Amino acid sequence: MSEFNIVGKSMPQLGSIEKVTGKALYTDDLQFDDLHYALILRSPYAHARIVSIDTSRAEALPGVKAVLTGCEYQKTFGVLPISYDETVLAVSKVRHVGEGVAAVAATTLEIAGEALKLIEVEYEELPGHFDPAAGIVPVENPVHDHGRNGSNIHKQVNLSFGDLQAAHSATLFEVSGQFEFPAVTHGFLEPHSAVARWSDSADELTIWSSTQVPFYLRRQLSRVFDLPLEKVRVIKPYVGGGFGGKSDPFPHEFVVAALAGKVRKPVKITFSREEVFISHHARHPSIIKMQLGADREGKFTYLDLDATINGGAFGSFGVVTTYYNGVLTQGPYRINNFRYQGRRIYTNLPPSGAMRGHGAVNTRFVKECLIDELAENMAIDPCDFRLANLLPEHTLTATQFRITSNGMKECIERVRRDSQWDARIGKLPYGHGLGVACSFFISGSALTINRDDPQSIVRTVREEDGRFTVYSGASDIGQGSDTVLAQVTAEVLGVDLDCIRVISADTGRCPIDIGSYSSRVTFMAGNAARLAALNLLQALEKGTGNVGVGEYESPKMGGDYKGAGAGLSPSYSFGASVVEVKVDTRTGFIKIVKVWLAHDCGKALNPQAVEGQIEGSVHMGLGQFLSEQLQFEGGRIANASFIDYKMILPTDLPEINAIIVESNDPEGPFGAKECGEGALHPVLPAAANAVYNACGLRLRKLPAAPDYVLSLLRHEHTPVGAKKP
Amino acid sequence: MSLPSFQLHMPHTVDQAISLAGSLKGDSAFVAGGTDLLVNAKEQLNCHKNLISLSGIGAMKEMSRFSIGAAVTIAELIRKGEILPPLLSKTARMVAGPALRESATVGGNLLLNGRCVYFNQSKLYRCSHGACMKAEGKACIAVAQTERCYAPFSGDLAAAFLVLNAEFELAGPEGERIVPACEFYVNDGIHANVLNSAELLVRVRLSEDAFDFNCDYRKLRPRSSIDFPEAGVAVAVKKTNERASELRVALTALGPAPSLAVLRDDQLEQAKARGLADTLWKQLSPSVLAVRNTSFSPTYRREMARLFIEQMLESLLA
Ligand SMILES: Cc1cc2nc3c(=O)[nH]c(=O)nc-3n(C[C@H](O)[C@H](O)[C@H](O)COP(=O)(O)OP(=O)(O)OC[C@H]3O[C@@H](n4cnc5c(N)ncnc54)[C@H](O)[C@@H]3O)c2cc1C
Repeated sequence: MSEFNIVGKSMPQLGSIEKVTGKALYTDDLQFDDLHYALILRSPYAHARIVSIDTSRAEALPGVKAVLTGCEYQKTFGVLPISYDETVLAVSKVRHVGEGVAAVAATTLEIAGEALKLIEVEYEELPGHFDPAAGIVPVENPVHDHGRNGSNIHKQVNLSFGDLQAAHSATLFEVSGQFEFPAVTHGFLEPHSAVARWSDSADELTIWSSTQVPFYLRRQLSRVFDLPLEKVRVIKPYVGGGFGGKSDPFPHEFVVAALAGKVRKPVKITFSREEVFISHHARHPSIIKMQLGADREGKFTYLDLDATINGGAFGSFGVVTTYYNGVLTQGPYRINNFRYQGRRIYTNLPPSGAMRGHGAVNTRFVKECLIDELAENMAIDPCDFRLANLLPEHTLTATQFRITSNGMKECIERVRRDSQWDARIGKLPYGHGLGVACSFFISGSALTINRDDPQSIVRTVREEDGRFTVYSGASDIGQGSDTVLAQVTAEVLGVDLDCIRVISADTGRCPIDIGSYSSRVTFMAGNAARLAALNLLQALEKGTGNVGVGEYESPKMGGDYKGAGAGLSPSYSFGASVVEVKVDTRTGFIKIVKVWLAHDCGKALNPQAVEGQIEGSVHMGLGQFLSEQLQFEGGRIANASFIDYKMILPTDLPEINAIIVESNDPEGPFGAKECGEGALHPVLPAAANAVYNACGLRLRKLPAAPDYVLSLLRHEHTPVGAKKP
Repeated sequence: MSLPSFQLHMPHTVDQAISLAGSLKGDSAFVAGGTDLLVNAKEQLNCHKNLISLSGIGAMKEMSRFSIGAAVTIAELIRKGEILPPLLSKTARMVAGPALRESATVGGNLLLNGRCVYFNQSKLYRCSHGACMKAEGKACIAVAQTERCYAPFSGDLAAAFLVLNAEFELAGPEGERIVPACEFYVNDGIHANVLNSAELLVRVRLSEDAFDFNCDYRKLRPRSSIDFPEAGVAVAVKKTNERASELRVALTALGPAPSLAVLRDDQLEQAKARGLADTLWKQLSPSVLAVRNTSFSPTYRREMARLFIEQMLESLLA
């Protein structure tokens, strides 16, 4: 018997029935009286000065109720206070193909479309910056004026821990390599959509938006429209996925707000898939160099990492991404000597940003592939090698991250056992292989983006009928956070789940939660909900009231070096994956035969949901590994559709063995920590290592498309970069 | 994204459809499943003021051992496939995905509009890059400075019908005509077949001969779940007294038109000495016009087609 009644039992997520029966209302489904429709005119140029915009013909078109251009709202915004660099629409110059230049609101979508054709924009084209490597020195007409010393550098990070020089002399085995990764998209199904409406008195704004971050959106709307916070209300209806692609305040949300203000009627915008590809904030294209050493005993001596990430035209989460590329790479291993040099470069591509596994997926790939090479050079089994180098529980890393619970060892042991690794490794025929890799990820950031923001507050109320309502700002974007809040509350209160109602992600009704990103919600909102329920229980027992409030704040932790806060989390997830592949060495096609993935999520509050996250991670990881890639030419996305952008389909998936490992985190709600992002990390390098095991290829870029694999098979049969003892 | 507005016409007979098309004077198109036509129309490609739906014409949805109505859906062809040469349902199963196959038709598949990374693009892209000659522009982009369109014909079923020696029954204002599959396609990405405007593909006919072949189809595509072919190869082998007496190989998606090579009796014997796959490839290669306008490189697509021929021959002749 479990010690819990509700927590730890699989259950369908709240709202599932509504979703599968088509009753759930997403933003685009919402009905409004007198709704007007907005469309955005987008720049055909990657980099150009706007000489003039003539909207008079559009304004004269019957049915057009408002036209907006960039000069009307020039205040910059963004998600991170250190990079407020976007505007509602382009002001004086455009920085990427597809950037908004003007917008219209009309009585029908068709009229709005006709109106866009009537807007005349004169541009003066500027040379485009597309190569990040060229942007590290001063350039003419940089993307922004605030790049370092006239260059296109947006952020530079130099971190060093331990003594790299001394580490080199203790090193017996060494591997290195340079890897390239293209941009990839989140691939959520529901496109961005937003509706804005102003009060009759024109001093209160309500916006419904498909967003992961209602409170950040509220803050930025209040800044740009110069309204007090309480006069802006953000409501998040059902959301059809986000994966990081809805975790910024986006220009279109301001566009509908501005247009609705002009029209004095509700105004809606829903993106086409192409607009999603332009606006999504893709995973950063990156070039990563790494060197990794081990000593005679098979212990890591050092890790030396260099990453250049292509930020595109705006900042987004990029400063954080730049740090994450480095600092999240060290775990789950003990590596005391660690150097990271990273830079994010502005280019004239659509902006890059956060995507599931934020900032760490590509460097994780590099590291786990190089570990495989290192193990091979040392003639140690890659599972054994990893096991010998793991961080223990309750320790500090070189970067002074505080590790609490740690189920890493069990994760490796489980995938090793279930895949029959020991019986099969090295014994499979040519073309057939197994590979292993590990992961390490945060359960939310211990520091908040806006210093004064609390992490998460939950208020739980006992209603007249004896039932309970949980109010939380947390955004359920399909990941099931409402269900987690209900489960945690029901467990504490000792009632059934159907006694709990969750009202969430409405800034007008709910206390703050800063958003669904960086895998923070189960841990942080979950803790807040638990405290709220405990406080309510106490109040009920004492007869002092019917309300319980809980707030989660992260404990103080971390080093005192510059950037010490980046990557700091109250708890880390761990995981391991074994992937089995067959490579058709005549065609270069990689068939993924089977995946085992063990993830330490602390405690699975809803095991079915954890399995879902693992399966979704495998799906997304394999897509990036096998075929996904945004193709740019001249700054244009050449494959901005789901037929040309090769996201794999469920039927392309192999059998997935999702294994839940529970390390029971001392600070997580009922021991829980993250499972939404970490599980993505090990899949890609495990697959790459399996390809090596199958046919001796060391992949140096993704995706592992068949023509690339075939060319490697023909030209490059020996591993590169390995120094033999 | 919404469709441009159009008038939908719903004829019930082939004759009505043809006369409608004739009277609408060129500003109309037939629409069957719409999985090609309407997708393009959303990007304002190949738009027409009038669409003549074929879904109400019962006669075009009939299927028998020797005749497949052009409006038969791919899903239906699979469901009733056992009366047909097995190659057809095998190939049909590789067309798009299950949901699309419920709407997609055989006729639409054979008359698919050519696809190209420069043509199948949004208005914004075309405006930013400049449009190609198949859209609003003047010249090909994939092969710079040429005024020939290289958009590959990317349907799967054509290759199967070619090796089965099928015939296409057409009907138009000028009457009916029968065109053998191998004379139907033209290597031009703008208009890739001999169909006249207002002419309808009514059905595909097979002869008894089609049942005498052992066949196979393989396609190269990034994802096995949904993608268009980037090279498709159908191979058919007829054996007489345990010996191969006829070999037919058809290619699709390697140029604006699918193509066919045949080896019979004496030629076959001679070819054996030089290598069958090599001989067939030599026959086919003049019609292969693969250029850099799909996801894979043209070299890779050609190489894979050549490999598929070899591998399929090997197993069919074994
Ligand atoms: C995501 C996706 C994946 C796809 N994958 C594949 C694939 O793997 N393989 C493949 O072959 N196709 C694929 N397709 C294309 C398409 O779905 C199929 O080729 C389908 O069979 C087309 O048939 P339809 O009835 O929908 O054609 P429609 O769109 O109705 O018509 C296509 C063209 O043919 C004309 N037409 C149709 N019927 C007739 C007729 N009887 N007489 C005269 N003209 C006619 C129309 O005017 C139009 O120009 C894919 C499409 C999508 C959207």
